[in-house]
Amino acid sequence: MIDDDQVTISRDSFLEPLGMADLADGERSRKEFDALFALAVEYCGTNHLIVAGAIPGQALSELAWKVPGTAITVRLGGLGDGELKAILGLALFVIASGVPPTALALTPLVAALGRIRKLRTAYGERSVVEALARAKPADARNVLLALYGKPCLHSDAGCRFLDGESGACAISLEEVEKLLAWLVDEKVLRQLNPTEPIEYGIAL
Amino acid sequence: MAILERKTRDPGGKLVDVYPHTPFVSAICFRFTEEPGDDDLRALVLSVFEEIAGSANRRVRERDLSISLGRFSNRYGDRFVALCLPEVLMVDIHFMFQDAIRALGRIEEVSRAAWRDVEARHFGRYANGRFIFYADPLLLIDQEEQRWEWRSFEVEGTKIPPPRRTPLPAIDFVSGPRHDLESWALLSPKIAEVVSEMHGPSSYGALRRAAKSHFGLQVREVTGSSFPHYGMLTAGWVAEDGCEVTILLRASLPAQLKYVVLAHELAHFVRHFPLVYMNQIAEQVAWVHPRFESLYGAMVERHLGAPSRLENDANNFATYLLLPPVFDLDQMASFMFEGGGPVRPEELGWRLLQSLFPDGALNEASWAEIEELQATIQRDLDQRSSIDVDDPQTLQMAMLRALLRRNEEGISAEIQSLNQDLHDLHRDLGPLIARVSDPAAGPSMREAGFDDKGANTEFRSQRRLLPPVDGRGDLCRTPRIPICPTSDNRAAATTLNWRSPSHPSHRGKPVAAWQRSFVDHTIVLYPFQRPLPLDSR
Repeated sequence: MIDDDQVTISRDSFLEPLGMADLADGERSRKEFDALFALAVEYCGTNHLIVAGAIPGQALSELAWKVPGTAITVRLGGLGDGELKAILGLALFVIASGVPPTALALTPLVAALGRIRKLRTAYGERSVVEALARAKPADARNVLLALYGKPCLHSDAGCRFLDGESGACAISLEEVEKLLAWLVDEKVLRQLNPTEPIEYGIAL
Repeated sequence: MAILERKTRDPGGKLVDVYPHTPFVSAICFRFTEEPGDDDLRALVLSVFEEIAGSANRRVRERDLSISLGRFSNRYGDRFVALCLPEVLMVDIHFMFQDAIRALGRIEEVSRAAWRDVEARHFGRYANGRFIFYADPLLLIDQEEQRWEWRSFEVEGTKIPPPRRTPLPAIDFVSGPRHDLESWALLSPKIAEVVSEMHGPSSYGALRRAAKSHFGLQVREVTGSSFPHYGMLTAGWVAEDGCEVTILLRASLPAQLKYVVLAHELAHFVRHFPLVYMNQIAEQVAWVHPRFESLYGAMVERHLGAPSRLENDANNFATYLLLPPVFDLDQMASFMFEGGGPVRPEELGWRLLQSLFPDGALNEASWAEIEELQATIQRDLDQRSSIDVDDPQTLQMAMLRALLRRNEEGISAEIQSLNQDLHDLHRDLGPLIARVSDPAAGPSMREAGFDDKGANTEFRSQRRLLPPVDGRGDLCRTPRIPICPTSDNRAAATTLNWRSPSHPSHRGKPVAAWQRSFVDHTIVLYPFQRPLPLDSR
């Protein structure tokens, strides 16, 4: 029997059942989705969330269309802290920085996520990395445009770049560049090219 | 197009216009002897803005008009500038821009163009008499010196437009909620006719409404995670007036997938209802004679073979709900010419199908990515011969395989063969029931490979404890076995040549064989009570 804490996921549909519908962007290619699915399966396997043999038999009076492909049933309870979602989001950023989807592996992504989670929100480090993940191309200028004038990504953190009056981010280009350079030194990010405009990716 | 003004300014201190994503523009593409700079183009656009502002026509004057600009080159290396206007625009204003451009270069094309193809960016805006031009957000500009206002812009996240869906054709019949072989024989051709008259893929909501209101099917979405399938066609308890047929769908699927799954299950109903019906009867008989289930299962396997045969047949029919018969891929492809070459029918099929699935929806049409798209299509098409029939990996692959096969020569023979096998199964069911129901059935059971102790019999004891729940509470408490052969007609049943309504020769004719052959015997069977022998009732 399957209890209500479990969902069956397959290549056709896994982000939505796992509660990550916002990652299901139509711009993503099939290859990227396959890579994400493989990571999700690996994560669930590593964390013992896969329930084996959960698909029951079929009664005589039923014609069921079984979930095709590598269908697995997972326990949702183990996904409570959103770690899988963060890993998949990070994987998409890594793919966007030029890493082939097939080259992604769970272990370095988990390690990179650990480094990002240690960053300080009050110093704008975390926001810069999060903005970088959405910036195309991922350079200082686009990070600035993604942050400046927008509501603070971590409003309760007491960020030093927060404009108290408007409640929006007031970081400058120079400050973004300095933060990015520091994050490269700390091995959280890596520089993808040597000349301006410099682009950045996650250091794996 | 509603352009919003952001509450906060950009790093350069300018106001920021927020544009919604617009995939297409009306592009005036022109060539030039000397490539115009942004200042030249701004002067051109400004002159038109002033002409618009000075127009006596209020409809021309009072409007919010955004202009974008693209610079691109074609495959021969020719450079072009594209002045992009909204797709829907007064022709007078379009002509104003065309006249102004002719002073600068030669117009090569005026067409609907994908935003990406002309590499467009927002350039200026005429906002009810105010002139706005866009500059780098980081740039500090003195606003006083200009006749126009400098701003910057940002575009809201790109949204893939939902795929276009067409309404179902008018349906002029209403089927009752209970189905038997006779009513199904009348109903299924009508459903097939509706499908044949479709002009394009419909929506999940429309198909669901039609299934419930016109086809007499229950469609239920299962929210619990205990339902591990995408969809299921299931028959309710068979009584004298037939049975309810329910399509169960996994509620967590995206609506686009639900449409595909509903199409597939509807196809099962149209093509394979006799099997579901017979299966349910077999299950009911198995309540009295538990060994019957195994005998029947073996018979089904002997007649129909692998389950994938039924699935492929259902997929074949379901493709017509995705791409109706009017989508003649061969004919459509013969009219098409793309990127310097013809488009193959299978490639066209892939593209049409792709847009009907979530996650795999194509980006907005763009020449910029055509080569990448063609490579993806080719990779998928190369895989089609290796698609595992029993495990096609994705619904999309399963439907693509069915779509590409539906016009193959052998497909009609496969359908006829399946019809015949269903007919044969139907023919053999009665004698099997008669044989198992015979009090002296021991030898028959042994002949069939089952010893007296049932050592080889697969018992599913848990299903014997409680009758299936089909929403009819009273029958659940007192399940009835409506169809059982009597001793009087048992002999007749074994020799009667039944005709299945699925047999081609029986198309459209009412089927009474079932009712003629068997007298209904209602056996009241309480849970946890041993079945009563037929003769002791």
